[in-house]
Amino acid sequence: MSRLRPWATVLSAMALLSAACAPSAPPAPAPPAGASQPAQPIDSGPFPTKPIEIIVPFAPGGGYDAVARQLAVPLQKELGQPVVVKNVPGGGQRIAARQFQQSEPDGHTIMYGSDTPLFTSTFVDAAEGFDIFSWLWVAGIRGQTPMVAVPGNSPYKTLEDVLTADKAGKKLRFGHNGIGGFLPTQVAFANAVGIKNGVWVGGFQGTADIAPAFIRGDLDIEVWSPLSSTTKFVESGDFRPLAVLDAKRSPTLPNVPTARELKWPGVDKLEALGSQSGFAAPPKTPADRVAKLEKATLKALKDPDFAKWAKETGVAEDLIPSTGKDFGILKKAEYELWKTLTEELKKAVN
Amino acid sequence: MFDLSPIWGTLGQLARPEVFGLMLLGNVIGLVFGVLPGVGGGNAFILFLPLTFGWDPEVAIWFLMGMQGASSFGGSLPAILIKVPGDTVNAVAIFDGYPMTRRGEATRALGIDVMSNILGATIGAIVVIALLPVMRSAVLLFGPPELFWVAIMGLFTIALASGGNFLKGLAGGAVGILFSLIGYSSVIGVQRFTLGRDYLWDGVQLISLFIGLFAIAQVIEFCTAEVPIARLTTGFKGFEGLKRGAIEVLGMPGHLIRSSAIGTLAGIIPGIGATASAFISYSVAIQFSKKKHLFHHGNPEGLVAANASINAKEMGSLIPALGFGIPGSVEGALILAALLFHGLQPGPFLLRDQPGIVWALIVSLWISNVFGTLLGLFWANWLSRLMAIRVVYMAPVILVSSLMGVYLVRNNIWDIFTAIFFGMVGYALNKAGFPVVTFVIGFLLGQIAEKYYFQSTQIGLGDPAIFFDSGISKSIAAITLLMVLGVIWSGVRSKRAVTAVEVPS
Repeated sequence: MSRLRPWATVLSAMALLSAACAPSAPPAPAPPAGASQPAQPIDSGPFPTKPIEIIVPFAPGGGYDAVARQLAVPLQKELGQPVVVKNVPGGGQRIAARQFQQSEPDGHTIMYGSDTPLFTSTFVDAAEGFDIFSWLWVAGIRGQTPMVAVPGNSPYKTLEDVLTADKAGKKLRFGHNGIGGFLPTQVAFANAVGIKNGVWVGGFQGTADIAPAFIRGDLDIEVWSPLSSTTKFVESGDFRPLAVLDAKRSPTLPNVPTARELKWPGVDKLEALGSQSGFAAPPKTPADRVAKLEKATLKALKDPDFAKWAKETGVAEDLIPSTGKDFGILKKAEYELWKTLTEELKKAVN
Repeated sequence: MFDLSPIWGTLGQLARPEVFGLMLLGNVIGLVFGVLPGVGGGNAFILFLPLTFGWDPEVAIWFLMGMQGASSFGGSLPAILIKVPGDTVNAVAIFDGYPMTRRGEATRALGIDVMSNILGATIGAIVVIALLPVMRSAVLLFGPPELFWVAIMGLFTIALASGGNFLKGLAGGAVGILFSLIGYSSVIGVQRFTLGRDYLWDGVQLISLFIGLFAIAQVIEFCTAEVPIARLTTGFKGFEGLKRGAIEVLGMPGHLIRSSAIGTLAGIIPGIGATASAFISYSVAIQFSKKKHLFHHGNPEGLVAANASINAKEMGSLIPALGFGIPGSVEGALILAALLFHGLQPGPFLLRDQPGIVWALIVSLWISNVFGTLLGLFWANWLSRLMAIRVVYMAPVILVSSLMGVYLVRNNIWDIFTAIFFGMVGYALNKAGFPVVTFVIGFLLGQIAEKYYFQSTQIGLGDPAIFFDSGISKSIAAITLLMVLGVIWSGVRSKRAVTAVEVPS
């Protein structure tokens, strides 16, 4: 009786595995030839013809993941095809960005990530394999209002206290999780209000571990974003908010003044710090498909079940449903602001 | 003291058939996902979370916790029976569980497994409930300087875990530390050993490393050895063995309580991780044991130390999630995701505004640990027959399932290649007689120690006094020192013993 060689079975198993893992690549309708996309709506055929994939560049369980998953339900109703969330975490969003850039531009793949930190990280490490400026914006979804706070037991009561301490040579510790994370916002804030003695304490994962260090008093001051993830700490007295960096007060924290009310220095720059996020489609996606996705997204954002969830979790007040065109204009202004800070950021990293 | 009566109300929910049924369903799913190597309970949680859309949150919690509670027991089954851990945390169960299986004591090992799981979760639950009123201060006790000392203490356990060969253990630990440094360091803002590839930006993935070191290396071992796992099935004495193992656990309250305490603490203080805490608990158990030489050779104490700490840690990780709404660990992050998904705002006010949810979380996680384990027991007897299967059939199944699991976590094909690479590393380590334990401890804690060192110096503005500011820092530093002295002392003593009498092999 012939005996199976163990290695042979292992090899055949490997083949099986690689077949299972290979991306299923059905023949997608090719974009019209001569493809340097004219903006006029060409009929690119029936769409969508298969499930839509939303790439989320973070692990499951975060804010972006939650919003994408909640939106997927009404989107499915609008588009008549299943909408699935695909988490591609890692590499400071770069792995997802590259995968997204290379995906079939047929409208069946869109991305929902945080493009501002991705963009600012390119100041230190050049972008390879992706180009944010080539992405097509489908719709604006969420704007993140930042809030400046000190720990609840901090000696500082106002920004003036902080600036006086800074002038006296006191070091001010900010926490961050890297150039592709919260660092740019902290540096930009210090730069705008004129803090000279900022210390950038790195190595954190995110709000999850910066918040306890902050409450313990290991850090002095921090720009928190989005507001909705930290309001609970304001209510509990763990954080003492100094100001909200937005044109108007936040409905959830009506007692916290805005930076403009307080006449903070560099207020125009400060108000531009909130990063906006929306759906993007890969370059060369046919315009009529982008338009269809845009319409569906804006409708999904008004879905009663989604709205109920958004209200309960505090996400609702961050929502900025906007068309792809409006959102693109917003994004452009944002990138311009960050570019002016390139040198400051490089200095802070090293 | 506070009102404990909600516990009874929450337990009463179990009388509702749909709640009970869904918890059991969760248990079964958790067990299946746990047993499959590489496919941890976390995957099950993420896959099934969207299914609970629109359910009553409290019912959904019973279902989700049902999965969570059962999966770690599920993962310990293949670790004990075929030396392949179901999940990273279960790797420690291999060291003493598998040798017992080879001796033909699989059922005894499973009995120990069951009892230490249940008791670990129970002790963890008691601690969590006792800490509820002060949970916020408990979490805040540990900042970067304290965590630095915890990591250092953990690294010193390498000395305990080296077994007979101190030098090889140390070398393995050092290489582990080097591997942990791969990736982008947000402390100093540089990439290290990334070979210019974004893939390595986040460092080596824990799951890839573990599946490689344990599952893949074992597949290679199977293929070269080609013998069934338990050569002689010296009797699955069935219930007899189980009972014996279970009773044995009760006979070692010291190990049980210490390991559960380490696990619970690791759950409460974010930043150490379940896997690291299981390894630390194992190494510390060696130090405290009177049968040191039996570890790695099927010592029931090692199995208890591993399992009790894992299950206690699961309970402990509820504390930061409930107290601050921050994830202290992977398990915590999943629980938060579930709360958020159901429109509940986790955070300082959850206990005040939604006490029902808080108690449902604690009680359901505990109960599902107990039920999931008992349910797994029915399986265990049947699963233990797996050992008789010829490896030629078993190896490919393990390989496919574990690599599939690695791929599922991030949908990244490179994670599979990494796992295969570490499979070869693990095989080489085994063959050359380097203890895998010290390599793993180095990997788990090296970068953590570095990170907390840098954070502490930055927070302390360069003044080293910050490392001795708090009483906790001082105590952990002192314990570390004592531990080192203890190792040296026992080394000296055993040398004397060796010279005095011939050691029976």
